Amino acid sequence: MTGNETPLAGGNARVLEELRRIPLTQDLGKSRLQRMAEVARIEDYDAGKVLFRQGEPADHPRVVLSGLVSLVVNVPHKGEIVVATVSEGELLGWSALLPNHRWSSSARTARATRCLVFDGPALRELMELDHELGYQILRVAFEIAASRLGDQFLQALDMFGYDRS
Amino acid sequence: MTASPLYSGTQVSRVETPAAQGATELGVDPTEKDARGGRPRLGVFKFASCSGCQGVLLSCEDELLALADALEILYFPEASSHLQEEGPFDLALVEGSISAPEHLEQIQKIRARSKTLVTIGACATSGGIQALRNFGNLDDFVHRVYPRPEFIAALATSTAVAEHVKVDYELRGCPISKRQLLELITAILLGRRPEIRNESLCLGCKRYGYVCVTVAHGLPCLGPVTMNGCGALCPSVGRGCYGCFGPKEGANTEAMAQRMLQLGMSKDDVRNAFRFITGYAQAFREESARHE
Amino acid sequence: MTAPESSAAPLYRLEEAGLALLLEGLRRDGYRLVGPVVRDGAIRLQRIEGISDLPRGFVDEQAPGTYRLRSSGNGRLFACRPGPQSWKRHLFPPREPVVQLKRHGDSLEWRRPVVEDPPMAFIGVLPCDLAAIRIQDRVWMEGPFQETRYVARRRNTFIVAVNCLEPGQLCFCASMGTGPKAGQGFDVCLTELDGAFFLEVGSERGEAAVASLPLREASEEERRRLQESLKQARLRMGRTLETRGLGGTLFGNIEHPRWEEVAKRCLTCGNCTHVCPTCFCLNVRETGTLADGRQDRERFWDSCFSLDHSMIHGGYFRHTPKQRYRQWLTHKLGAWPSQFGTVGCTGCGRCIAWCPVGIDITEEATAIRKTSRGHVRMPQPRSAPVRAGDPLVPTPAQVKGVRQETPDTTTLWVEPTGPFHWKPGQFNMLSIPGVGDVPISISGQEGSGILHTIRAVGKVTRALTSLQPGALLGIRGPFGTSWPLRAVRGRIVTVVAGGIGLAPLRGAIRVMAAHPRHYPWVRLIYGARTPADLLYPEELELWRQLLHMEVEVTVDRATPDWTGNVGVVTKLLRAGRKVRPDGVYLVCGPEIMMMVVLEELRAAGVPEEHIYLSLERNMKCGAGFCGRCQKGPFFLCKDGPVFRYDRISFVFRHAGL
Ligand SMILES: Cc1cc2nc3c(=O)[nH]c(=O)nc-3n(C[C@H](O)[C@H](O)[C@H](O)COP(=O)(O)OP(=O)(O)OC[C@H]3O[C@@H](n4cnc5c(N)ncnc54)[C@H](O)[C@@H]3O)c2cc1C
Ligand code: SF4
Ligand code: SF4
Ligand code: SF4
Ligand code: SF4
Repeated sequence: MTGNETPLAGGNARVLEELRRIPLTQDLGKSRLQRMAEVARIEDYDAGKVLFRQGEPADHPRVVLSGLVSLVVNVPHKGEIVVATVSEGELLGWSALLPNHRWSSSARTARATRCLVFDGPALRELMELDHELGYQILRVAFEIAASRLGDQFLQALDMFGYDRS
Repeated sequence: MTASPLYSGTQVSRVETPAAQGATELGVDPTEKDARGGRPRLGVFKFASCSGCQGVLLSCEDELLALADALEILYFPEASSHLQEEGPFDLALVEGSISAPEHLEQIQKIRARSKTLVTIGACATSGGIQALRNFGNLDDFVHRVYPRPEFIAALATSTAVAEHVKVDYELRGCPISKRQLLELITAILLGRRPEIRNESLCLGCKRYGYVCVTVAHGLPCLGPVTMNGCGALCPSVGRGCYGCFGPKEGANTEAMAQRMLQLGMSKDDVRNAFRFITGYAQAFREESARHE
Repeated sequence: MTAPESSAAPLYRLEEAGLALLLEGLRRDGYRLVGPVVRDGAIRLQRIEGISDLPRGFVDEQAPGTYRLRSSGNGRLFACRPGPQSWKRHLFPPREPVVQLKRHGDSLEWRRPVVEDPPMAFIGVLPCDLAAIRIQDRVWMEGPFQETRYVARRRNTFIVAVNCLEPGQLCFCASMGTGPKAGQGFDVCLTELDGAFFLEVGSERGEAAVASLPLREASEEERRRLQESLKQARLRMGRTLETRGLGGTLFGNIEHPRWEEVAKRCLTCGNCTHVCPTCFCLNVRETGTLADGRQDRERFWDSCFSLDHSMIHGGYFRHTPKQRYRQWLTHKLGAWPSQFGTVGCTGCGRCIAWCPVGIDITEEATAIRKTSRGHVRMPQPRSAPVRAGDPLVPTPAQVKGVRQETPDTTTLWVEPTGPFHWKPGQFNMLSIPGVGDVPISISGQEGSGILHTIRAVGKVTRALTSLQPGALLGIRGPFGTSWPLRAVRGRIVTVVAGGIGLAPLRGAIRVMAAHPRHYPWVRLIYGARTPADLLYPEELELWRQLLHMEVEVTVDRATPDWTGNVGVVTKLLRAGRKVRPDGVYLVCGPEIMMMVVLEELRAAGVPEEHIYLSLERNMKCGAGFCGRCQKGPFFLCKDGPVFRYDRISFVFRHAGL
């Protein structure tokens, strides 16, 4: 990790605070939140920072706390295309919730951004040990993935191309 | 409130984009005409056909004068001997079907030299009556019809121009309608959408107030599946429609054929009714094949 | 609709010679007589000179897809039932000029061609057809606009109705409440019985016309026989149709498999709509050619079976035969009562006879009723005050300024003639002589001028966006409903716009931006295709700086220099926080975008009545005449384009309406 890491001590309370706020974890009970806090930290990035690269092993899932992150796909002959952005409160890199996945796109901050970063292997282990926690996280992650799929399909329709408006 | 400076009285320079370029329909964008300093150029071309549709153009006597003012006629062999085949053309009217080997190359050239290409008549839009040969074996026809068949160089099929190059507008009919021709040329010159309706002939019949020959006399009529435009000539004299204008959009030829059988036509008659002037147009072609 | 049969209205007996005198008298008074005539093997309605032109001795036989005239074996003049033509061709001719353009030097003047037809007297109007005329009266005369040409003709038309004692195989007027006895609206009504005519008078004009006729009061016996014959006729209808709750049943069965089934048989030829005496759909075209140098406009009959009827740029709302047949049937029997307070079918049977394949509207409606899968509540008709003037005639306006917004979108700053009052959400019809006229929302006001933001997609919009300052164009309007700026005061307002859909919303946003006290919390979510396609970037920035406004923007396709959101508006809607169920939502964009937004709002528990949408359909008039902008029981031009969602959700959900 190369972000400006916040010191863990006082940080733990802030991490907890954020976990209570974000959709991914806000419905978890106190002790589970505590355990989640132990595998997470807050990082700040400047604009233009590459957080992960397409094709590399998916390690750490994040949640954007403020700012904006672009998901970038490298298309041969066309170069980089921003396919979506991930903004405040959204999960970034849900494939890292699953073992053995690789990033399907790269992520780069579009502006100064703060993220909650989870230690992927540790989080997966937590989810494995506590299936109820695992279920809750995956359910929310699945909802997020599903609506993003819906968005993407609308985007693919190129609806402004012909219709008015 | 005073006027916002955002909307100053001077024209903000226009950005050229593909969409904006599309706007340079003849006549719409005056700058384009000025740059070339002339009137839009017309070419009239002919492939396999009887020249009847060009005849319609020639018969627009009064209107033709106005057209001659509005258009520069570069190529129109039937009307003038001063020919500039090289173009380029703003508007090309193409009559006739692609029927002989040399047509294949000629039509590509015309397309390349023309901004707007309009096919006129049943031959150009469907292959025409000569496309009947597409249903049989060309050699048989040639040997039966011509004394020296070896001189006949023809393609195995007679096909619509649109099967070979992109066509911007079609004028259907055998021959085409004068009203539609004038409407199309005017619309292209003024940059409006030509009011050439792809609807059933029946709607024309009804607007004129003709009595339907199918319902009142039990005569088969292709009107319900044929595109309007002829002025409902046949129903006006108590005959069923032959389908000169070709299939209307979404023609339900199957239900039509059912009805024709019900009215007492034989399977062969139904097949031949669809396999006529515009018989090689897709919807009619497929329907006639169902009655082989 | 039927007048009570036991009415004690005076009834007179008139011999045939007396009828001849009546017609002669009408002619002398300057009426052109129009009546049934045998021609080309059918009854046509055309000019007649007197009773000798009437179809004496003829009667028709009708069946689905079949019509034959034969000898009746008696001398009755009015034995024939409805034929292929209806009176609408005389009141609402199949083609008619609606606008003439005059140029005076540099200025333009659009004029309404004057109707010069002499007054007409319709001889032999059957009860169903009398009802049809009254149904069309509602379309053309009862608001919000009047079709001036129709009104002129209608006011001058004298109606001689004829009651039906011999209903035909395809008749079902008794079911529809339109016959066999004529309801209101005639000047004189006849019943042909036992070689004589029994006459009732329905108006002062009728009174005057019969004053000098050799009338004799009908005897009690004659009166009784007449009643009895009418009663028998009522029982001899060739067809019946149960109309109770039919609208709700049809709209509750929009996805019923029967529609597919009938679509296999239907030729989409449109004959049914053109023979129907109540169908009113029309299209408008430019008539000028290069040769005549004119730039006039005419309207002509159109049909919902033509593809063009539902066209908008880039597509069609009803492209399949199923959708088109469904439009016809649901309009006639389902939507009409909500639109005009009366059903749209009189039971004349024309559409059954003159359908080349004999599709039977009563059979189709009954099939759906019998296997109904649902029922919806249909909206009540809403009456509107009649607005003055001819809505089809543009007034000139001048382009004061032009502003290129995006590569394909331009804002025109237009100075209308005279004061112009509009509300955000309303639209104008903008005309270019010789090219056409199209609906465009009013996107704001600058000084005394109004703004129109226009995306160049087709012919008329291209011509509009090429106008230069000083150019003249025509304006008709304003038309339509507006955003509920009063109702949303004090509420949490979220505006969701896509593409050019921001234009119809801008007027409303400007009001909310200027009045934080009334609109303390306004969030704008706006999506466009690319950063270059974003409308009004400076204004978006101004709004963003306001304390009571939040502005979020997203694009489908980013460019390398874009640092904002990428994705669709729904993403912004849910990002970061929960969608507020207590807020109000104003939405305009491509229909597919609106559908997805609505789903998001539904899932978040936002009640439908907190959502307002602006829709788009093909439009030729803006005044409720052309029939093309229908969405179920609504006309976008007068009931919309802005709708509260709960009112239209039962039709909005379905594609192809
Ligand atoms: C209530 C309303 C408000 C609108 N507001 C705006 C606006 O503010 N800005 C803007 O750019 N566009 C707006 N539109 C869309 C605009 O009317 C169409 O883009 C325009 O009609 C296309 O006409 P055309 O001749 O350029 O296109 P063509 O494709 O050449 O269309 C030919 C004809 O089809 C009809 N037609 C085609 N598309 C439409 C359509 N989308 N809606 C209605 N009729 C259509 C018209 O009669 C038109 O003349 C609005 C539409 C409606 C119904
Ligand atoms: S005569 Fe033919 S074209 Fe005319 S309405 Fe009948 S079926 Fe249609
Ligand atoms: S829908 Fe059919 S039966 Fe009803 S009024 Fe129209 S033509 Fe007559
Ligand atoms: S929409 Fe209604 S009025 Fe118009 S043609 Fe269709 S059925 Fe008739
Ligand atoms: S119902 Fe009959 S008349 Fe109407 S469009 Fe279909 S085939 Fe034609």
